[in-house]
Amino acid sequence: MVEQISVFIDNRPGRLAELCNIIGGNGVDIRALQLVEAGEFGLVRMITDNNEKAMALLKDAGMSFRKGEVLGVLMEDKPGSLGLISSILSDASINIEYAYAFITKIEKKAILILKVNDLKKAIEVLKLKGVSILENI
Amino acid sequence: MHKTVEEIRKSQGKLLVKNVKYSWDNIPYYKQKMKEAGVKPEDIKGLDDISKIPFLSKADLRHHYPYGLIATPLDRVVRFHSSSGTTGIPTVVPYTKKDIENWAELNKRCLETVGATNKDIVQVSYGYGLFTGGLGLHYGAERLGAAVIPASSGNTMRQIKILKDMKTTTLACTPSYALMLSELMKANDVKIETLSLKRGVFGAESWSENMRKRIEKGLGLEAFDIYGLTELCGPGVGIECSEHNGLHTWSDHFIVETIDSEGNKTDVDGEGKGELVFTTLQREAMPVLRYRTKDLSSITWEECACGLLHPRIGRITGRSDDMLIVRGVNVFPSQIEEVLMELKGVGDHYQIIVDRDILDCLMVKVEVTNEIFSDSISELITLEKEIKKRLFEMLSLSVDVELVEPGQIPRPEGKAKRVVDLRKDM
Repeated sequence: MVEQISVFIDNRPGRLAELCNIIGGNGVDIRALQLVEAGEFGLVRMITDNNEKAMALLKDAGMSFRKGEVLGVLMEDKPGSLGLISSILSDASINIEYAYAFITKIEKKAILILKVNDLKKAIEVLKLKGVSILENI
Repeated sequence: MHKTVEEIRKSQGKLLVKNVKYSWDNIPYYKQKMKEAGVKPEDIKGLDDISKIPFLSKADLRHHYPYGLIATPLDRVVRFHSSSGTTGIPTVVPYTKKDIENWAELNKRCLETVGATNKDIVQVSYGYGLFTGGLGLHYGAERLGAAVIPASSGNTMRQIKILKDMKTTTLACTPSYALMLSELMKANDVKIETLSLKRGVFGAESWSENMRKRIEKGLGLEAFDIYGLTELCGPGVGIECSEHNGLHTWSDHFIVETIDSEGNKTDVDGEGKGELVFTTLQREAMPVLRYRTKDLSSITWEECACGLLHPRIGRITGRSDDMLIVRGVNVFPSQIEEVLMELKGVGDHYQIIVDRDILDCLMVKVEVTNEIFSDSISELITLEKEIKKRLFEMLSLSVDVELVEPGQIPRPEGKAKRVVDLRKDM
C-alpha cells in the first residue's frame, strides 16, 4: 500500500504551478501526480518522497487535502501488462475507481497506482498471481 | 406649496380618516395595534396625524396568514393573489370586486401615462397566476380597451413570433425578460424593424439607466418603469411618465411617506428621502395602514413637466433590509445560510453572488474545507448537486453552486462579505 495525498484546487491558470511550488519549493519531491478536473474545481493526487512534510506545507498554505491509501503495483513495461492486472481485479469483482501509471528508473518496469473499492482483497488476489505490490515508490 | 397640491393632500387626509375608521371597525388586529399605540380613530383628523398610526410590517401580514387581516366577509372576496413567499409563509392578498376594478383602473392609468390607447396591442409577458404581474396589467389593458395578448412568461421564441406576427405595440414584462427577448432576437437575426413595438412597461425588479438603454436599443421601444407591491395590490402603484424622472404614484389611492431607519418620518409636506411607507386609501378587502416596504427611495410633489400632479417616487435605490430580488423572487441571504448550515461543514465559509447576464443569476460559492473534502470527484459533484437541490427547494430558484478552495472568499477585516451584488453597475 502506498500513501497518497489528494488536494482540492480551483480550476484556473497557475494554480497547479502554485501548488507544485509549495511542495517542490520546499525540497519535497513529487514522485507521481495526477490532475483531474471537474468543471470549476480540480483535484490533484500525488505521491511524494516526504508525505509528512508535504502535508505540513499544505496545511500552512491553508489548503484542503486528505491522506489516503492506494495500491501501488510494479508491472512490466510491455504491451498487455495493464490489461492483465485489470483482468485479475475484474475476475475478483473488484472495481477500479481511478488509476494512473508512469514508467520508472528501473529498466522495463512501470508503476501503476490504483484506487479500488476493496484494497485488502485486491492485494490478496494480485499477490496470488505473483504481481509485486509496492510499499512505497 | 402649489394650491392644487394642497387640495389633493387635503382630500388624501379625508380618505385617510375614513380608512382608519374602516380599518378600526373591521380588522381586530389593526384596532389592537392602534390601541397599544394609544391612538383612536378620532385622533386622526387629517394627513398631519398619519404619524400617530403604527406601522404595518411584512411580518404582521405573515403572522395573520392567510385570512387574519381581511376586513370584509369572505363572500365579498372575489380573488386572491400572493407574494412569492420564499421565507416560508407567503403573503396572501384578498380583493373584493371593487378592489379588482380599482386595480384595473390604476393599471389603465399607468398604460395611458405611457401613451397607450385602445388602438394598442398589449402583450402581457408577466407570469399569470398567484403573482400579480400578469393579471394586473391584463385587466388594466382590457379596461383601456386595448387588445390584450396574455402571453404569460416563458417560451421566448414564441413570444418573439407573437411580437412580430401580431404586431404588438406595447410589451409588459420584467426588465430582465425584456433583455432576454432582445438578446434572443439578436441571436436569431430578428431585426427590430420587423416589429411594431412602441413602448414597454417593465417592473417587479429594480433596474438601472444602463439597462434601460440596452432594452430600448435592443427592442426599439421606449421603456417605462412601473412600481407595485403585492401587499398594496400589485403593479399599478406607480408609473414613469415620458419625462423619465421618477414614478407617479396615484394620490387618490395611496399615501406615500418616507421614514429613516429608526422609523421617524423624514418627509415634510410629503417630500423626503428614506424607506417608502404606503397607506392605501380605497382598498376594501385588505386596507393597509403605513406599510413598510423596505424599499429606499425619495418622494417629490414638485410639478412634473408631463402635467400629472400625482407625487413622484424616485428609482428604488436599495433596501433597508438585506433582501435580494432575483428574477422577481425575493431572496434573503439568511435562507441560503440556513440551507448550507444543514450540511455539515458547508455553511462556514460561503459567498452569495448576484449578477445579471441577461437574466439575473444567483451563485453560491462554498469553500471546500478539510471537513467536506473528499478524494472522490463524484462525491464532490454529489455535494454540489445536493446543495443546488436544497437551495432550489428553499427558493424555487435555480442557483449555481461552485466549490472553491479555502481562502478564496475574501475576508476583509476578518469578516467575510457574504453577499456581492454585481448588478448595481448595469
